[in-house]
Amino acid sequence: MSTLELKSISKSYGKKQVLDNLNCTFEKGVYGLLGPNGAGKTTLISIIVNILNADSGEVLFGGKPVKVLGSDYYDDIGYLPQYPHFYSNYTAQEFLEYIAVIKGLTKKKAKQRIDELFEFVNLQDDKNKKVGAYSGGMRQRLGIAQALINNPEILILDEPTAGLDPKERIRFRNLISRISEDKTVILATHIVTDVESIARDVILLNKGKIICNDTPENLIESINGRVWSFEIPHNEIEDVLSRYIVSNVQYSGDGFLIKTVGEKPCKSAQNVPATLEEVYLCYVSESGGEI
Amino acid sequence: MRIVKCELKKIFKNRVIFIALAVFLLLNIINIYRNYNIHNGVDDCVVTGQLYLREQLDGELTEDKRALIYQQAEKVSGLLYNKKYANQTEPENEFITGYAFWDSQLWNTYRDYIDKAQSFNENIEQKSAEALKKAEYYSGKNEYYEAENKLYYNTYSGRKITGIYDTNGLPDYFRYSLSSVLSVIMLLLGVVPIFSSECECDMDTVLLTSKNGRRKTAFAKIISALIYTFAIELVFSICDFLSFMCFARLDGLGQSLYAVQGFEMCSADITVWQFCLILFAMRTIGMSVICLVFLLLSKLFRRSVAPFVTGACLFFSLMLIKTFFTDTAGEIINLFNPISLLVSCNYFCDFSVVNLFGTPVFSYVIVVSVGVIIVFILCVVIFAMLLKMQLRFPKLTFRRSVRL
Repeated sequence: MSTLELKSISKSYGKKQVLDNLNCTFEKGVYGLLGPNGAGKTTLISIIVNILNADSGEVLFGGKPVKVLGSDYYDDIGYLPQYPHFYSNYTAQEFLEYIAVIKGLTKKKAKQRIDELFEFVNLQDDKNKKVGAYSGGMRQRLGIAQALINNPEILILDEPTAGLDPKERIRFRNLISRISEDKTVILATHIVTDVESIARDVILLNKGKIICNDTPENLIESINGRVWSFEIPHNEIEDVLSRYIVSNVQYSGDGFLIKTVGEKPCKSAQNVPATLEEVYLCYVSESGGEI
Repeated sequence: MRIVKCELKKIFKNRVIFIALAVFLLLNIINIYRNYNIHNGVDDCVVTGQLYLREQLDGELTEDKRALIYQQAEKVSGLLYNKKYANQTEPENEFITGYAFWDSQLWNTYRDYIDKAQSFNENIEQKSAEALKKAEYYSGKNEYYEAENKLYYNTYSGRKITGIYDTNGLPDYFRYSLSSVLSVIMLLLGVVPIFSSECECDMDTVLLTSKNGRRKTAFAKIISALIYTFAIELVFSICDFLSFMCFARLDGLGQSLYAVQGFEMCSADITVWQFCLILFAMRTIGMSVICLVFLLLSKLFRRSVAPFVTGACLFFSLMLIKTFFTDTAGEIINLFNPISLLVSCNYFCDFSVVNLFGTPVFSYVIVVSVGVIIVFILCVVIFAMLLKMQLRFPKLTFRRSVRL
């Protein structure tokens, strides 16, 4: 299994620095690339999949720069873009056959692989339906199938669960978990729960910088003792929302039960266990991001 | 090859293509039927007589035929002075059409063919001899004029019309252009979505991250667009030809083009058949230029509507330029206009040459060469653009504002 390595990646559009000296190594397992909108996730992914040039730094795969590997690099990556619609007038079967050709699979190998993948993503009964008639979740599963058709070592998913209902999101998550057994999966998202239970490492990105990169457990551990719960009357809600990093507001009969991240907000506040969502809020806010 | 097949399949997957093709072919056939039908405005008996005479007379002009035509023309024309036939209301068996008047018209038409052939044979020899004299005169004085006159002599000397055919329908067929307009609309429908639809359905990034999704796919897209263009042009050309054969009853396809009315001074010594194939080839080159321009527009925009509207506007602008730019400067501009290749029969009507660095070259040669060069240049430009533009900004940030 070859590793993917980012070395001092920087990128700017005009005067705006989008990525600033990023260094990171990806091995087997799921990597959650978290960050608010505009953090630089899609730019980073575009550089990793070699459709965008970095201003400086390089992406190495198996120790070799991907620029040197050329089209051979694409044998080892599968990519699911953000909000894919694919060809609505194709059936799923036709679509995967086309992708197989584009990815250079032989006819025989393509047929076998397509059958396997339809079963894997549980679309075997819908493979003759037009892609345009697919639901969002089915389309994302088809997207996974197209990304996996060349059996790549690295799977890159850009906001794959955006717009999916909870059932489809869980189904999708389970699918990614299964894939990650023998592959590197880089999952870019701003939905923390997508990566909470399946990521081996979470990379938090804000304003073009990696603000933390660790296992979810370690990240949660790192903010333990900084998450608070307390009750407030109805009339104080606006004040609390503006003063603290609020991770949850729950209505209770007499007022609101508030969860905040950071310094102890009041004497009555109780320390409670942290979640990855609070890690995200804490680090993004500390790095100057808007919550 | 598999990618080219896939790209072609992608074009033909669009149901609109087939619906439009069926509608346009029908429209084209109806138009030819209504405007070029041999039965239009004449009685069936005249058409029957005309076809009968074609069968009997069309072909090599022999002395027997000549004598028969003159004799019959005179005889029937003479009968018209007879009161009985001047106001004939009932058909009679002794006439081919049943009527003396119509018979006289038909026989006179054939007599005109013979007269025209004879005067052509005399005039062309005279003009060729004059050209040769002019060439001798300009020798050592003006190289270009000398070369031009020699070319004239070489082109026209020795020409002779030895056959007679009813060629009335042929010029209409050569100049027929509705199918070209319909073909261009078909190109708009088929070619414009080739690149822009990839962006519309977010497949561009998938292609760019696939092994064969870059150069090979770019090349396949260009090839498939050209194959589609060829197929459309072929279908419409066959439709035109069969419709004209069926409704206008084209005749004399094996004779020399210069025997056709309006093409007496044709600069190429070819038969009507060959001319039909040349017209097809020239239209295909013109359509290929238009196809590649549409393909370029398709690459420049992310949504299909913009290249569709721009392409349509561009096509109508080129048509207007072709129609209204008729002065000397306009003629030069139109050498680069692909519409010239779609209505190229005029280049064959007379001795039309261009001074190319002191050498007289037939206009149709220039138009075809320019067309082929433009096709080649556009292919290279599109291919280069595709390779260069593959490194793009991320879509979310610059989706609408920046097109790379």
